[in-house]
Amino acid sequence: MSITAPPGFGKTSILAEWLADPASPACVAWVSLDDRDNSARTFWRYALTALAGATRSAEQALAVLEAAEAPIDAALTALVNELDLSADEVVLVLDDFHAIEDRDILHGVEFLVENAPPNLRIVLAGRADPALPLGRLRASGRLVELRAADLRFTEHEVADYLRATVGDVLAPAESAALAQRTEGWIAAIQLAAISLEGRTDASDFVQNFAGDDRHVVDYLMEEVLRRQPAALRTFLLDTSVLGRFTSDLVEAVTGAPAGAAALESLERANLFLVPLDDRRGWYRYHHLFAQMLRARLLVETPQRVGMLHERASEWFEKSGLAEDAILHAVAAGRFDRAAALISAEAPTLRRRRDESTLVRWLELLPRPTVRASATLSLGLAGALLSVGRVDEVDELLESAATGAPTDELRAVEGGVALYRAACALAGGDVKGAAEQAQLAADLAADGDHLARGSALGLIGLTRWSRGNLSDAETSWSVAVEQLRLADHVSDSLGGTIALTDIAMAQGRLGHAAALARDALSIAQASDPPLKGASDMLVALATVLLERDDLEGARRCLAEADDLGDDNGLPQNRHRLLTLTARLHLSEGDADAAIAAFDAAERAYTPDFFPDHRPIAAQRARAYLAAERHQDARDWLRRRGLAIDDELTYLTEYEHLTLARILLADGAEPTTAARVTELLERMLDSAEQGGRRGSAIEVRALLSLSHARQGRLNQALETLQSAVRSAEPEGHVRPFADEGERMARMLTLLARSTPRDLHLRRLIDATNTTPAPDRSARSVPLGPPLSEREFDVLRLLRSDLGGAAIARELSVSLNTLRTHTKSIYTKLGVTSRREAVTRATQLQLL
Amino acid sequence: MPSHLPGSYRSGVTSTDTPPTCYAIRVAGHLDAGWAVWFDGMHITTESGGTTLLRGDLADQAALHGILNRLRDSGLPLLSVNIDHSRSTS
Repeated sequence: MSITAPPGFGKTSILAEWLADPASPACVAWVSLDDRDNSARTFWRYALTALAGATRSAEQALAVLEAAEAPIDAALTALVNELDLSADEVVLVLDDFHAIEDRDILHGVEFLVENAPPNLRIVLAGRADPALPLGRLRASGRLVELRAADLRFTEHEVADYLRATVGDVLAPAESAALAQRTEGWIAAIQLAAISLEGRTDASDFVQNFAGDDRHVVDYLMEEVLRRQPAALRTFLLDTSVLGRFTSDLVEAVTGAPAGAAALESLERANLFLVPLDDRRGWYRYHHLFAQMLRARLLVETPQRVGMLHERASEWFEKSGLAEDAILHAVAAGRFDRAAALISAEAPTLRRRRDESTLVRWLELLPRPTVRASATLSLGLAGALLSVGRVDEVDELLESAATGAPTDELRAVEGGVALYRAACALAGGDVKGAAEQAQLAADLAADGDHLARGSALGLIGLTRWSRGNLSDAETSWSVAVEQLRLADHVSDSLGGTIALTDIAMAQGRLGHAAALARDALSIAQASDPPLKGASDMLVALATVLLERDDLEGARRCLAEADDLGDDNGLPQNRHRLLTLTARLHLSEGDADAAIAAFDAAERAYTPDFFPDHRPIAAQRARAYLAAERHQDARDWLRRRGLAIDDELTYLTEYEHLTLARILLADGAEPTTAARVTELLERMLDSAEQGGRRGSAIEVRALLSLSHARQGRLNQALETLQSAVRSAEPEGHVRPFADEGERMARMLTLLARSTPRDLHLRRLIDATNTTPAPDRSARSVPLGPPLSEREFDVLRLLRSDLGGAAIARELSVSLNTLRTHTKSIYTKLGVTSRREAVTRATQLQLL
Repeated sequence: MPSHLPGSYRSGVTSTDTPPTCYAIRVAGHLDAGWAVWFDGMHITTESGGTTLLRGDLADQAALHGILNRLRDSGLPLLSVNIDHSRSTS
């Protein structure tokens, strides 16, 4: 239900009246909103607390929301599910919903409206239409609307109202004139009724009023105020600066005792006092009335306004209500005071990762005030950086660097260095970033885990960007530990992503998996899991895929998907999609892979991590698999990579892709020679940088490149060492991704080392997609051949006769016959020719 | 900024990179000149026919919307909003 009308049309009253009706739903949750509720977590805390007070079925959702760092969507999903199971008829009233502008809140309310079970009714009351897809709701018949026209009092109703409040003081024509002049606007009619009370000249009053062009409420307010005792009039004007108040607060602001008595007399006089039902002891004035009082106060005694706000600010500070204290300090023009209040709140906001509130508050201050304070400049710079607004950061850091007080010099300088490092890294200046990050780490105090963790993370990033993996790993390990100590768990999970990526490049799959599993168990220890659990599942799936455990990778991705986007750090969406694409590719579905890479590219959210596997390059490989060589070459041309480029870690993946494209294009031996030369350089670079994972892939490609040049021995030798280095950690995909030609090479290699288990796995995986002779491979193997039997089998393939073979092996003819009989039995064949054919099918040779 | 704080205190958000625009806003009902303070110093003229014209420089769209919200919250029916090219804000 949506109730939209200007203030004073009785939205709240009509709702309260409807809900008081015995036929109305029994469980009512009423939330009165104002501008301060524009933060999703605050908003839903109020709403779910109100709902939990109305129905037990909302308690679970509230518990979910209160769990630290839990995504809000999880709480709303719990609410919908629990309500669906409940027999309670529930009404959620969001009063003054026009005050809500925050997109996350609107998104959540939309979700709730769209998914509400039939026993939940949502009422949005406000002065403007809510920013929700009303048209769609209207069309589906699920929206009840009340607008100003529905709420206007008719002449008849106006007459009834006046008779009930002030008695028969007006003639029918006069009451009709009043209805016409006020257009049935109930607030105006109420003011008129107050003005009429105890009047002997009621007719004159109506006549004057009807003949005046002044704004209805302005006119009536003056009438009402004129008739109040001077003290009460001053009280009303003074307290109008308050958005909400208690008796204690009004005493502090007016400087007069007996605030409670004053509020009581207002209530008796029916002077628009509204109790805030969700905050006991709190009141506000009716919006329209308050608006008129404030305007009048500003006109009559503008010099008092600042003092009143300042008193309010002091009271709110003492009561621990920081936001109100800050806003009133700003309204009082006491920016120094507001600045001090904001500084005191900043650490709490940062721990909650609520930098947007910090930006909002700091932007209430004039820039010169911010610039004059080192801590404020630094705070605003950091908060702006974290919300991605970098344009002004430099200047703010400059102010911070020059204006730090001596007792905070070290901390401020450390902070400045940290943010400068982040800016430099964002701008691609790795060297500058490294220097500043080191400075920040040096300046961080021993117990300042957050500062140390952040600085070391940035140092780790600069080392990683330069391909210096082992040093990057050292920094990141400390950073993750420090962030955990600082209780910034989600940030520490982000650091774990860096550590697993680095371990993967180093070829340490087992270590990467262990890191991801450990971090996952930390994240999953909370219910619901902490933000970042999904990222850990994606990291784990990456390792599993590398080992060709497609089923395991699929399971992890499904689990990550179930956790929802909200559980992921900002980069998780594109990481998840990228891995999904690679999974498709491994399953042999290149088209699906390309589509998923497209989606990943659209979801791409850059951060400070080096983009060491650009999505476009990964997609270019999928183009090759889909036989769309032209598209792959187009990527290459756009990317502007060349075979004789200088090598950097950051372009390693792309240069490997370049090598693949050139080799895939039926390369001439001269091209292959140049590719070989590139790959040899890359191998050097990977080995020097300790990137064993990369080296495996380079060797695999190098082997294909040698083969293309007709250098079979070198090809097999290189492949052999690639297989050797892939074995300890179980790398499979670097081979399997190469398809048919790699399968042939591996089969060739298997002739010389037939009992190599990892080699068999590689052959199996490489042949999986496409699988031309699946039937042959599906024949179960008998007991394995002995080493001697393999030797015999190899010679059976030759043209040598039995005696020559026996001589070759230095055994007697009888011994040879024993071996051949055993081989025939194990292979299930009866002749030498059958044995050779079968062994070839089974790729034993 | 909460609506109970007058717009003239919105100190942090004044834009300096674009020159202000002069707007002419017409509402139904007469307002006396005292209301100017409440509407960020806009010049107030009552017109025959029971309407009031508010005219003045506003820094940006945010300031304009602040004024419009304020009019709505005072229950003043909005009749028109125009850019005043004559720029005589006196």
